[in-house]
Amino acid sequence: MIRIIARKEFTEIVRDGRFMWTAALMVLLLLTAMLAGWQRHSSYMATQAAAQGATNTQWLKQGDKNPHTAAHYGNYAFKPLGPLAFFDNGVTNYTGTTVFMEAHKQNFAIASPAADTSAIGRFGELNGAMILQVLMPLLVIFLGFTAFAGERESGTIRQVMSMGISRLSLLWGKALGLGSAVLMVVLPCVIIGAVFIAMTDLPMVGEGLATRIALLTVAYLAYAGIFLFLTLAVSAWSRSPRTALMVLVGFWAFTAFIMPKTAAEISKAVYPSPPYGSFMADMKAHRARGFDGTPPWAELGKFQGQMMREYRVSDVKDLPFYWTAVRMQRLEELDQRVFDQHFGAVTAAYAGQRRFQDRLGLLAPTLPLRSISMGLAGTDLIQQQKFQDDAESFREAMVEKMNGYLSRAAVSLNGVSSASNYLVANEDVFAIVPPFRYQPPALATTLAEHWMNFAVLAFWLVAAILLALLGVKGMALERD
Amino acid sequence: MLEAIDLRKSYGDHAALEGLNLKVKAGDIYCLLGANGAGKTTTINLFLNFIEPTSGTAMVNGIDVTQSPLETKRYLAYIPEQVMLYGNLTGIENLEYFARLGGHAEYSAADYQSFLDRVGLQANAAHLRVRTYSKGMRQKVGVAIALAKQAKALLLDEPTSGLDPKASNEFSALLLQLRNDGAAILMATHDLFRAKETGNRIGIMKSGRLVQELSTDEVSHADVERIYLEHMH
Amino acid sequence: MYRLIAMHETRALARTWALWAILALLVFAIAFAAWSGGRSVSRQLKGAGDAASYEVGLRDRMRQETAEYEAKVKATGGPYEFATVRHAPGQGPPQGTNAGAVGAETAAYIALPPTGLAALSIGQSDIQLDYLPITMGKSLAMTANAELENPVNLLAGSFDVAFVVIFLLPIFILAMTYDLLSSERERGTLAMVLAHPVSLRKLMASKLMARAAIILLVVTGLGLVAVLAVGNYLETPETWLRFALWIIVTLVYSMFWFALAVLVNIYGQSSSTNGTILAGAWLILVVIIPTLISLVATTIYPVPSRMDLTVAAREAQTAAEKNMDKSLNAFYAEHLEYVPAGDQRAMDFMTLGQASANTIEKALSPLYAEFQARRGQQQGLVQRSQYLSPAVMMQLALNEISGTSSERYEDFLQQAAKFRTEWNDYFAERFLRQDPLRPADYDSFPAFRYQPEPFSVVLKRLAPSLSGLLILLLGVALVPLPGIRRYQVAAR
Repeated sequence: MIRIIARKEFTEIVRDGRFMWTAALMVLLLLTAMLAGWQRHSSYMATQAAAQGATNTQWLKQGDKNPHTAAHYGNYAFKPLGPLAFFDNGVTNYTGTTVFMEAHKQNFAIASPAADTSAIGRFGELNGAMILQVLMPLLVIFLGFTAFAGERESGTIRQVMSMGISRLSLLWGKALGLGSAVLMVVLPCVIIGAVFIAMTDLPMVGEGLATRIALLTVAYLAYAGIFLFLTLAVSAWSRSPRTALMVLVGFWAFTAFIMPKTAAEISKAVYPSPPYGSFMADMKAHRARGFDGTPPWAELGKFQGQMMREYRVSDVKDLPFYWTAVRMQRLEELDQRVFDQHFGAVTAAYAGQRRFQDRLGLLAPTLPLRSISMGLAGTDLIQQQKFQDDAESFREAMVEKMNGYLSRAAVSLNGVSSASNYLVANEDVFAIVPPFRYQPPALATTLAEHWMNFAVLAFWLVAAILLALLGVKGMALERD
Repeated sequence: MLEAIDLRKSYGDHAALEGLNLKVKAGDIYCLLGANGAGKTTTINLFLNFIEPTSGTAMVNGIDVTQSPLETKRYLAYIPEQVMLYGNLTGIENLEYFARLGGHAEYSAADYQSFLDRVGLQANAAHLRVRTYSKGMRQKVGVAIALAKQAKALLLDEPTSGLDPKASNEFSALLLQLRNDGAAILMATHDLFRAKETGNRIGIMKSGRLVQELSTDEVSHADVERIYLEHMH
Repeated sequence: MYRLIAMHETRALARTWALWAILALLVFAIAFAAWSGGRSVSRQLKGAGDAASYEVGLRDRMRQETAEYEAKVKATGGPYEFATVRHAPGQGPPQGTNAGAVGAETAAYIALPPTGLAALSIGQSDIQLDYLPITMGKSLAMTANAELENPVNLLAGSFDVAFVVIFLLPIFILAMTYDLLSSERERGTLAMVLAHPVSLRKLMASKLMARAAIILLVVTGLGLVAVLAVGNYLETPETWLRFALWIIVTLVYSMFWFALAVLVNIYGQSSSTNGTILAGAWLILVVIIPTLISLVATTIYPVPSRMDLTVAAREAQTAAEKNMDKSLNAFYAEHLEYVPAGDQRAMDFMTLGQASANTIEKALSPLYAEFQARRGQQQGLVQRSQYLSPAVMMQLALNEISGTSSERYEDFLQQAAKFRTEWNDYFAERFLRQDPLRPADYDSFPAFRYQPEPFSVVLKRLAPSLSGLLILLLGVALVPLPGIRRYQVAAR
């Protein structure tokens, strides 16, 4: 019975002019978006690899110099992206791609692509994820809003019901028919996307690619299901097809356009983060004043006394290590506490904002889906944070290695007070700092962070099905 | 008052109306009979200029409707099968709006109430929203609009179909009143009994042609039915 | 007659829940947008203020030290000297006498002031830094240019009044007009009305007027409230000129959507078909075409990656360093505090450091120029393609009116580049001459004064978008005129 209804629905939808137009537009846009996304991703990865390779070589070939000077010269970290970024570019356009890692200073990731594109970029990026998140629900609505309301208006629903069909089988039949029509449009594009990935020779950043694709598919299917059952529910409740259309399009605009912005604005007020100018001013002032009120020079004085007591010497030149290097490393550690506090506050504010927005997913299913999609594609805030953390760890290790080498290798210079108190190191010394490698967060980490979003999405799906069931149960057969 | 001269309307190859000649004078109730698709509604739509004739002329009060569509509508009132009103407005608000559209801004609230009283709408219904009205009540408001507009010609498109016998009877009585006031009434209907009772002339249409005209005082109920069925075969 | 029908429409609309829902949403949306726009502008101002006052504080302290030093010199009768190295507090000339230290260790923050209407259209100002740190020896290409903001929020974009006008207002307008004629035909009232001496054109015009009057009164009224609540410089006529322009483009843009609804209604389809077509039109004009234009612009004129720029800058830096007197110099150039007191070579290190910065900037400038050129080409393509979508025209127009356009920012960058040269030259010259700074000199440091663009420039840049919107409106509004004759009042 359900299959008969589904087949009739499917035939009817596919023969409708609406289907032709919307399906053609969807397929065209999806293919364009995926091709352009692929092109963008390949060129990004090529640039990234070349830049990382070049700066790694530059680090080694910077010329013979003092190891601490080499730490000042520093290195750059360029963020690589996983292959799924071509489908969902996530926050990539709005995050820095580059971190300068140098002595004495922790830096923000800079060079975000969005800062260099025109304001029109703010209309959004046409990528696969955007089309499935924004256009697919509209396709479902366009094809399905007449499902019950239209049949009621034309009176056919009474004919159908007089045949002794249960309302439940009518619902499942319609859902199946509508679902197949939508899948017919979306599935080929998904397969083409998978072929892209399978054929690529780009480096695979991140693990569990197959699981990621499978989970992405599940999440998007659930999202489509939410809209499918909501559409059927509203169509059953509404007095006329046009009311159904208005309500559904209104909900679509609410969840796809209004809520993401609203959630962002409210989260900014709930978890405020400082603007650049205030951040820099506060951090510099805090650094000058000392982490807990003791200025760095006083801390260094204390440290000097402590070292001299520990090694029982009366002059720093008698210390068994190169004092200047150890002193610089100590300063590095003092500053690190300030950096950790200030950068940590910003990180915490961002994470708070992100979680707050995810929680608003209870009002709009697009929010949790967006998070899941970015998370699985490896283009969300969590991996950006991991990239910056990796870069910071690298920076700390790099400075520590250079200062440490200097402290051991230059002991003999301790007593020299002329301008020639420097030590020159070469490429072999610089090579003790291994090249920067970004380790993307493991799939398990991503899932642990996103399980709530999966739960919210599941909640929506169940709620939508229940609404549809209630809708057909209480559906009037007469037009009024 | 209403006159059709060689009125033709075709949609592509299909002729909906083929050379209709018809005259309805003041004081006439002319009933158009015929099967679905015979051209009755087309005729009424042509008088209303809702559709353009392929050839021929429809005249209201001696004026060609295609030449002066707005002028001719001053004399017309239209009561379709379902008198459709604004559901969110009350009966009296609907009446006022349509009367003013018809160019009559002179009425007072009491006048509107008296129009509704004259057509026999329950006194308390005038201030209820039309959404709550039964079909019979809406048809009454339709007649009140015609009264307020002081229409010289009424175009009625199956106005009594679906009304219960009592409401139908009341409606016919209203038509007779309007006729006595000097209106020309053209009514498309399937109700042979009503046509004989209320109308003074009957026209039978088939496939876009007026095949026979009768005067009701010359025939019996049985005759009307026999003649009608003969044409339908 | 127009008045009668319009009044009737208003009364009938006032009795539907849809109108009140739409108006309530509109009021809420604009109030929320004004609130968040206002927050965004004050956040920028706070950032600019904090940064500037911190740096001014640094210079004030340096000035204080030089003043104390000057007093001491006067008392002891010694020479007023230039600090070649960093001395311990109270010993020798303070850092503040060294122009190189003042110019390079403190930044002059220069700010692009918001216009009166900045809160209404945030544009790119949540990404681009509206206040730039200018220091001696650091090229603008390598200066921080990004505001600090959560990328998740940047991705979502601002909920500003421009968003409400561009995205939501059309939805509200279409929700009120998608069934302008079709609903009356479906309910049967159209035939009832047209049986009276009323032409279809008059009926439609009056129905439209009623709706347009309601929506536009509310929008302009709320716009005015928004400006009064979160606008700046309310006492200057320029703000109100900008507001007048804001009203004009908003009216033209809204009328376009009204006209589009009429155009679709003229074809006599059912209300649901009209609704589908109009929702589709909204999607294509407001979402798809803008994102497609953006996609095409970034594909045809990809801006060279800043990653490449970084590598090139580093290349130049390495080359410049290798020209320096080897690594010792590099070390001391960065750590003057370790230069033993009295070592005259310290000056050379700083001079070399300055020379190296110049070399890097020179090496970088062709790359940066290409970078800017590509951005210009991309911007040009967007400017030319804006006519494809009223939403793009509207966004560009509102950014221009609110002073958040790319062009205004470019102009600011040029002023910044000019000021950077001025700042650099002032300090470099004093520094290389070893001319000690005196406390009084602190008043004669170059000061940045933003040169506002003449209003005619704003108008000139606004012209393409505004005239494009007008032409589009006329086109869409005139098309229905002949079609209205063929409108099927009655079913066949």
